[in-house]
Amino acid sequence: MVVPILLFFIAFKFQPIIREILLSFTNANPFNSKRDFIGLDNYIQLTRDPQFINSVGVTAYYVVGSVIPVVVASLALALLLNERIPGVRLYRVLTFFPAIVPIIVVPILWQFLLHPYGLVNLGFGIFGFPPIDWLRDKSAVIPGFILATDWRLVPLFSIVYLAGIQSIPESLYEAAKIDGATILQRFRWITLPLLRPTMLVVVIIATIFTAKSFTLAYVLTGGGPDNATTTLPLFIFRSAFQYFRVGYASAAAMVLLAAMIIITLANLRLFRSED
Amino acid sequence: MIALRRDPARPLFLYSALTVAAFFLLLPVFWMISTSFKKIGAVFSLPVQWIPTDPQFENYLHAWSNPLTQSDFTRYTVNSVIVTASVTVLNVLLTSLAGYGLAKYRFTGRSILFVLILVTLMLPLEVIMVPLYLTTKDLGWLDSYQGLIFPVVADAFGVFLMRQWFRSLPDELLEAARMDGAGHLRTFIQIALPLSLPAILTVAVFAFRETWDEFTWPYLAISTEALRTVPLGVRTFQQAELTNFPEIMAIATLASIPLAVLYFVFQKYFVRAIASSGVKG
Repeated sequence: MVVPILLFFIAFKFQPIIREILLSFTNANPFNSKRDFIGLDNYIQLTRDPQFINSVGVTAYYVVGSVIPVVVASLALALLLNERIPGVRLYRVLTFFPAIVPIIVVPILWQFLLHPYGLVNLGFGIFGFPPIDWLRDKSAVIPGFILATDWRLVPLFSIVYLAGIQSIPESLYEAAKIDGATILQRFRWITLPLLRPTMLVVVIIATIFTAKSFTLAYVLTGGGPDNATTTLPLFIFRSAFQYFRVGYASAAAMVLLAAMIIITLANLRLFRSED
Repeated sequence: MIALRRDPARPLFLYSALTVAAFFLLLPVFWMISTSFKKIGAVFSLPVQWIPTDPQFENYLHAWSNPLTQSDFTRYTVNSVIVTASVTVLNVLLTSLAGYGLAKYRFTGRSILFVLILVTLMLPLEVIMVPLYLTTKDLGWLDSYQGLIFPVVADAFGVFLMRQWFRSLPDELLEAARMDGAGHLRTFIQIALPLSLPAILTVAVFAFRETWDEFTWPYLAISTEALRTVPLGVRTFQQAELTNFPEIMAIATLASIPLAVLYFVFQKYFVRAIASSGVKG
């Protein structure tokens, strides 16, 4: 009964990844039917390629900059949405809206929001900040990306947290209250420790999601200005589909995969060891 | 977290915080919809026209089907429906079958198999886009419905969810059916599946959302206009129109409607799919 789906996994997951590993050791390109085994040459070249090193830095900045606020803000939103007050269901629906905006619409919408005359600058202007050309200013563009990303991710992950919070037994809070624990103490000693598994899931999934993000960078800026938003997936896409360096792109994809695996394992260990 | 009685300022704080959060999260959506009804000149005019004074409904008609930009969203919608429906049906069939097998049968290598399936969560499309493209090309499926459907059908999350569900289904129920002479497949179809509607709907909603929303894979696999899905149509429209902000926002609004409808109709399952960490953005 597992066989049918296994065939699909083999054809479209395992076979491609093995093929990619092999390709990463060759100089394959679509115009040359003869491909040579060139050992680690692609990987050595990557370490000397300023474009690649830049894209690793861009991705790291974008991932860390997006994930940390998501972990905190979606927990805060979930705590609010967990309150039993009249109308909270309406707020659950309203705050979820960004999560149902299609992936392709996010960059198109934020292109206008981050426009020099757009809504973001208008909002900052109220507090007296000078307007910023978010998408053309090298130092402002990643913060702009983070804003757009977290706008969509916070509602999603607050749902994950909410499920985690609701699975905490009410009796724990009752007992703590009888012992005279304040609301902050209850959060610190009950909610937070019991939410650790949920938090781990949020960190891992948010990291993978942002690390593999292609559409946002491709549609919002195309990697610019001056490669300030050329993330790793965009670098892989360009190498393979614009410069036709299939082997080289495969090697870069292996680096992305390795980074994702290492970060996931590191998080698993970090969250376990603190117990 | 429950006691409201003691502190009268608390509800006030909660409502203010919730309102501020909802305000910032909704504002971009509201801006998108309001801009879609504006004239080009009014897009960035100050003060912001939140409710356009002279709503341009024809922006929608114009954007939907425009011979000048050659956009034909009727066609893209049909394509999206064909692809999404096929993937969702196949996905539910395959994942429920696999989940049932992994939960209800003991066989050697079962746990290794399950781990192998979960490992594919670390192999998102963006990581394997190059070899996946080459494989689809080898199969002769570039620029075809098959190419849009089959490479994205299998999904580890669905298997995981189905397995969890079937594990909680009592064995006695299935054994009773088998005692009555039902075969393995019949037991699955006639007993296990009808009892699993919540899980099936959760997986189906998730697969629908994923497939309808997918941009990267169709973008790689499709080059003819006739096979474009809605996200590809939105992208080409945005490139063709560039500065016609109202019409771009009109198309963006229309493209957002199907997922919004899915959310409102299947809210419970939609939320469940995400809460069980089927978050893929």
